[in-house]
Amino acid sequence: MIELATDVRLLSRFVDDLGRTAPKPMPSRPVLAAHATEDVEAARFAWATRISDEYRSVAIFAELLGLLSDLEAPFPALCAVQRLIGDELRHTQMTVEVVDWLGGSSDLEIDLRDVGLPPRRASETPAARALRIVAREIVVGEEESIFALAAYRNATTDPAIRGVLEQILTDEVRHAAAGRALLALFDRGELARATSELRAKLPELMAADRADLRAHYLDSATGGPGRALGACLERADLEALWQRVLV
Amino acid sequence: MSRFTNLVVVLSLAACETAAPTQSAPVFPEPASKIEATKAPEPPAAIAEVAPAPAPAVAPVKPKAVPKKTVAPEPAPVAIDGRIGEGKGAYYPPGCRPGSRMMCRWREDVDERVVPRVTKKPSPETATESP
Repeated sequence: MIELATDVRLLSRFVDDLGRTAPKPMPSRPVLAAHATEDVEAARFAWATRISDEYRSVAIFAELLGLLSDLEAPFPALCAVQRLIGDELRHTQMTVEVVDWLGGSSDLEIDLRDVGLPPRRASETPAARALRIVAREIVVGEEESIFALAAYRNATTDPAIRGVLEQILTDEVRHAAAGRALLALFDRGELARATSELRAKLPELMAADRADLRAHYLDSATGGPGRALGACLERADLEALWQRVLV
Repeated sequence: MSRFTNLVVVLSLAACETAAPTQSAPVFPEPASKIEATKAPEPPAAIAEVAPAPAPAVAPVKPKAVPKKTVAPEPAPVAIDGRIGEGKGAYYPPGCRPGSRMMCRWREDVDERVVPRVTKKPSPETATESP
């Protein structure tokens, strides 16, 4: 589990700096008396899993920043990826706070070790790995999480929890847009030459990933307690959004 | 430069940093409306109210079967009263399976590291019980 507090004043100033990049201030703690215990408990677990989700993105985008640095990617691209990492760190902090609102995590084991992607294989070049991360984790992953977050946001009635989802959603939209811009870097120059083989099969790969993610989200939308606190969805919540976009 | 000199320099820098006034708030981020206006050419569409419009029409498919593990599995985590090991290995409370991609791996890389990330700690009574 991640420790948010620090006694080191200098380090806490970096935390404050990160907080100032938020689109909005963190909402105030929700009034839990309005919710059944069963709902609060379900939401506590749901938000605990989101800690791991957000932290996983930190790990993966950090790997991407290392790869792009080694590849001498354009400075603005590096800036974009470092901002993505910061956003995901901030989301990690937010989700930890929500779990605290909902009762804390003292009785939970939240394992964040080694949460990134499996190590790059020797046969995979740094450029190909970077392209895979951009295409699969940022373009597809972040775009699909927009649908899911929007569905959770729409289903959530508690104002504080809704505010948190709204804030994460705003960031994820920006991330998906950044993903498209990063993807375009691989269409020209040395990055294009170094990834030509992968780029030929990328559309198919991305479509398969998107289908996998949607199936996973749909499979997990089984309803249940905690809907008002951002824990649960019905299949129709997702289908309505997907339908709306495809029409 | 001697070690002592190095130490003095580092301490001086640390003192300056500690004493420095807090930075003013950065300009980032733009308001949501502005973000929408400056999106990349082919961005996920609507931001706040509607979901984005990027995704090609992909019919939902059943998740692929997870390949057999090639190494011995970790001991099962402690279950509360929910289910463990469903889907891609996450713990979900009864009746609720939060949509999360935390356990998602690239399909070709699903491996033994796909383990539940959120589990309940054993209660003190359970932990001290004799076998």
